[in-house]
Amino acid sequence: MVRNYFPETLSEALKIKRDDPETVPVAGGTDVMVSKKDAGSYLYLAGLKELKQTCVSGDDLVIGAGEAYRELLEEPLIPELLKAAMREVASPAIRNSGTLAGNICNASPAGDTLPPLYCMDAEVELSSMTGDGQVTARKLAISEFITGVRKLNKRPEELVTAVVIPGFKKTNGMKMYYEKVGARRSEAISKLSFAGLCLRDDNSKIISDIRFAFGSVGITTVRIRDEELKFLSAKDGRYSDMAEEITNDLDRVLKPIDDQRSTAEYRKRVSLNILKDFLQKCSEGSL
Amino acid sequence: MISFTLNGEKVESRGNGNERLLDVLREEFSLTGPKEGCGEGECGACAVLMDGRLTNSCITPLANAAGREVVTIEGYSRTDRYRVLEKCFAEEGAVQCGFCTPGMVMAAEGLLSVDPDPSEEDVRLAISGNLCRCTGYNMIIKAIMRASKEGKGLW
Ligand SMILES: Cc1cc2nc3c(=O)[nH]c(=O)nc-3n(C[C@H](O)[C@H](O)[C@H](O)COP(=O)(O)OP(=O)(O)OC[C@H]3O[C@@H](n4cnc5c(N)ncnc54)[C@H](O)[C@@H]3O)c2cc1C
Ligand code: FES
Ligand code: FES
Repeated sequence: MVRNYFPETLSEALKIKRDDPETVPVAGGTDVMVSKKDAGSYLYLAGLKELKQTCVSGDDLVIGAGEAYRELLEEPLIPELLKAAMREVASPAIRNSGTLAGNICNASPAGDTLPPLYCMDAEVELSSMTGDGQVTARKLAISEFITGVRKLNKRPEELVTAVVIPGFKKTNGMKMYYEKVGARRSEAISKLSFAGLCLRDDNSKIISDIRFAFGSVGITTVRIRDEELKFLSAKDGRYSDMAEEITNDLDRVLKPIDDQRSTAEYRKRVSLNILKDFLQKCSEGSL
Repeated sequence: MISFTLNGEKVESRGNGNERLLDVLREEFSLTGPKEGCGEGECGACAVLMDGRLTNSCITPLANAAGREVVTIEGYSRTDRYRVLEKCFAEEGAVQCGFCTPGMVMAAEGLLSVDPDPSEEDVRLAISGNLCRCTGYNMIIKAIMRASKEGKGLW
């Protein structure tokens, strides 16, 4: 007989997770209910008010793990780059139930919110309860939290309690670029996706920061800081020349696969074309 | 027991939290308006409103309905808003086999309740999670646009 837990508070939920670490957390359920793998027990998080809060803490934006796409799309604090990706997730009904934290924990290479989150150096807050009832929390960079296809660097007793965007005001000041390529307008799981951010001074034409990340071209989202820094190091503002080098480097790095949605060759070629377009626009200041 | 409001009445379900809301509605409460098309969240035939928001009941665990207000097409059909949509769907030829219709009407309500004066593009987006194998969508879009005009003041 399946056990179902309905915690009313976060600390109750953490206690249940400590005592029954195998229990499967359910937020919106849009992934859990489709996977149809029957678990022995489920822990329902949708009723927890503590997880439905988004607030600013110092320089950080702290997004509650229980916030659904719909709520976040209506929230003015959420960075536009993340909103651009959330608008493309699934369909209106799924955006009403599905959560950002659920998308992260699902750890699919095609998770649409992941490239923007990688670009923004997002962190995941993990909470748990110790034997003597103390609640402890730690934060991990998203790139350290997601380790593979459906693989997380998470202890069984832990729950994700928040998604943190550090220094979010700075990223909000950057120009953004987002592209999702799917089979059709709605409810298409991505063939590939790309997110980029750029900070350019229009007077000096100097680019002082750039970030870009690719979805669906590897087992996890691909973002390579060294390539970004290489682009920034272009001598005398000759970014266009550097753009070509970066694209060639990425050609060697991206390792997409063939599957039912697309082919490796298509994914690679289109991803590189999008990268070229992004770098070109950054160089010209036309983002 | 999981309690929630169903079409305006307080109810309690004997179901387990992990059961699909769709099965509970159809089997325990004999509400067969919500249909099972794909069973995977992709077609919208099972759509209902939860706290006024469009929700696919086939991928909603019963647990997530606890304490919420669930409205199916049966409850919605007692409203004036429904009567406008019904008339416009009929007159625009937006119903053929009718399998998608309850979900389409729920999607229309989900849109009009927050945006009473939508553009055609807004309507297309609002029903983008609802599949129809018969009409080719244009009649449905026209029907919803027309309802937004004929039902002015209702939403
Ligand atoms: C028809 C359809 C279309 C879709 N289209 C897209 C799409 O275009 N793009 C896209 O990226 N995704 C898509 N998805 C996938 C899905 O909707 C998203 O991944 C969604 O964000 C999941 O959120 P949820 O709250 O429903 O997660 P749930 O199903 O509740 O949970 C997902 C996973 O996260 C775990 N989890 C949830 N919350 C926590 C927590 N607080 N702590 C620890 N673990 C947790 C669960 O145990 C589970 O493993 C689609 C799904 C469907 C059914
Ligand atoms: S049956 Fe629920 S979306 Fe298709
Ligand atoms: S009328 Fe037949 S599926 Fe829409």
